[in-house]
Amino acid sequence: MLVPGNRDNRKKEQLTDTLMREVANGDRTAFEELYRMTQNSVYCYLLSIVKSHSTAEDLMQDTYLSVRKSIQHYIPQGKPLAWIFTIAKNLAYMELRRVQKQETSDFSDEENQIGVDVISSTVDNLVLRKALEVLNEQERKIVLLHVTQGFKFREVSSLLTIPLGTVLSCYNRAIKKLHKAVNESSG
Amino acid sequence: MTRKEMKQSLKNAVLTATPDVLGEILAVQNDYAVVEFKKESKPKSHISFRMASCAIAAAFMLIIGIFYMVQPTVDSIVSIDVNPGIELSVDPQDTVVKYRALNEDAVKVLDGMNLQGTELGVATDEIIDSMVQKGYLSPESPENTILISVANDDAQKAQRLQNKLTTSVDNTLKRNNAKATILQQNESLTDDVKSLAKENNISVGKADFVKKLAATDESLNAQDLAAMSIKELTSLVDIHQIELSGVVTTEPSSEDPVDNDFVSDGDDNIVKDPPPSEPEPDNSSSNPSPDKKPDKKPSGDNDDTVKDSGIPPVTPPESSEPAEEEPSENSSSAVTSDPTGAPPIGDPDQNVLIEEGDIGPYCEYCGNLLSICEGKCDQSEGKQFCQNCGQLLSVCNGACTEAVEPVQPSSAAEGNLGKNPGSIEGAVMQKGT
Repeated sequence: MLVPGNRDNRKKEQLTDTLMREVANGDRTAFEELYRMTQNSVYCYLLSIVKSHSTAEDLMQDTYLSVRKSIQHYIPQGKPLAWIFTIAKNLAYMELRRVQKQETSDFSDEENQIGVDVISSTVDNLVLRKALEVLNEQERKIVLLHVTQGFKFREVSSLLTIPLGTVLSCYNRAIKKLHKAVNESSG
Repeated sequence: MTRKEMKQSLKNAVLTATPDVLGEILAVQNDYAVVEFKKESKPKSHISFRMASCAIAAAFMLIIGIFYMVQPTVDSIVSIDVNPGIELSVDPQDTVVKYRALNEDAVKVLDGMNLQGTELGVATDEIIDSMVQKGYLSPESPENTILISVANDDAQKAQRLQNKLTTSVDNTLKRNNAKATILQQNESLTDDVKSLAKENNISVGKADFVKKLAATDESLNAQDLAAMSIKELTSLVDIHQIELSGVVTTEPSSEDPVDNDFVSDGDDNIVKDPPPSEPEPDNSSSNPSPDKKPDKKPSGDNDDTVKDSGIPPVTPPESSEPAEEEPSENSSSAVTSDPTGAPPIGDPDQNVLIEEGDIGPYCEYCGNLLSICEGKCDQSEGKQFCQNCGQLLSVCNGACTEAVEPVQPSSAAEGNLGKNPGSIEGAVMQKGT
């Protein structure tokens, strides 16, 4: 239930705890499978926090390293993705604190690089950039997880530990805001 | 742009932007995994292997220790041979830990018995009782002989066990009104003895006895002797006049030496006495022939009581008469003493009774009449006896030739006999025939 909500994920989510055990036993194939199943969600989640592709990429790498390192401490509760998100969130906030202390440049400068370096489509690049610009962190998380990863609102509520009503209202408000911003940009 | 198109564009943008860092992660993870394995797994397995080894070793030693603690310790091996041969293994507390029958007769004797864990004396009682009940020791038979052998490295303990066994056997025989001669020996468990016992399926005690007998007479074969019963062996000893002094210690079971079926002479030969009959209380005298043992000398404590010897006999008090006397019908062949009831000459170990009618000078070495000694005594120990009265010279001191009355013999003789009224050593030992 915590895995991205496409059709295949229904089968995969049943294997998640099993996968976690196999990963804990040092099964490399299992780890690769776990990575393939969760990479989009983890990246999406990190991007919604740090708003930077390169930073999200680095944090994504650190997240999976931490997952591999701490997998022995995972307690099977049927929420492996929530456990991974917690690791990712902690790493991301650590990075944010570190950046704030160093008073480095704002991530907003790098946001433009997303469209330039990675996303070939201009429209897609524009939409993503606007989403990162106009939405706050909570709205970004909800919109990206629901729209791009297919999580249901109930699942988003569970993953982010936000009440379902808040998720729904926040989502509607964010979509309106984003739609307006995109339309204004596209002119 | 509609909302739907916007959502699709957003989805495409994120999916396109998602990096693939798996290769980098695995590259790092490989190293990490190796390090992690080295740090955690190896020591754990090493420690567990050591602990397992120690645990197994400790458990093994514990099991061995318990095994040896539970195992009963065999301290002595006691053999009881009549014809049935029984071997008892005894622990330091004199408890029977193992027993075995060595022939079919012994199986019958031990039938229905469970001697394991019983005290040695009790076990011996039961065995002797069973032997009497099953006819291997007959109250009517005068030829009962029991060989009791004790094998123990500690001579003192072996002697203590022998005494204990002898007392037990003696009491049991008395209770059953049976009589027997008990041959005792401390055996030495040499390999030869063990092999002989094993080959012939006899007890180690009997094997040792047989081996010693065969060593005394070259004409005897140990294998042949092993097949004989103890009674047959003693008969053979009688026939061959084998000295048993170095072989076994002989002790009658009854307190009355006259009642003994077997007595040993001065040479420790096993000899057979006539069957006992009604003893005469006062005037009868035991008349075994004088002992011819050269190394045994009459004690100076006893008086010469030979009649018609020309030497005034000691006149003992009436109470000094030996309690045990030969039956009157055997008097002709029995040891005689002074008609007055004087005790026979002899030291406490080897009293000598002089046959009635024998007169003449005495051997100055053995104290017997010269007609008996015939100069065959070994003249050992340097003790010399008066040739006139047969007493030790130190006792006689020439008084026998000077005075009519002998030197206070009665009290000494009485005391001597009183010490050992039932002992074989308390009387002259000679064949009754």
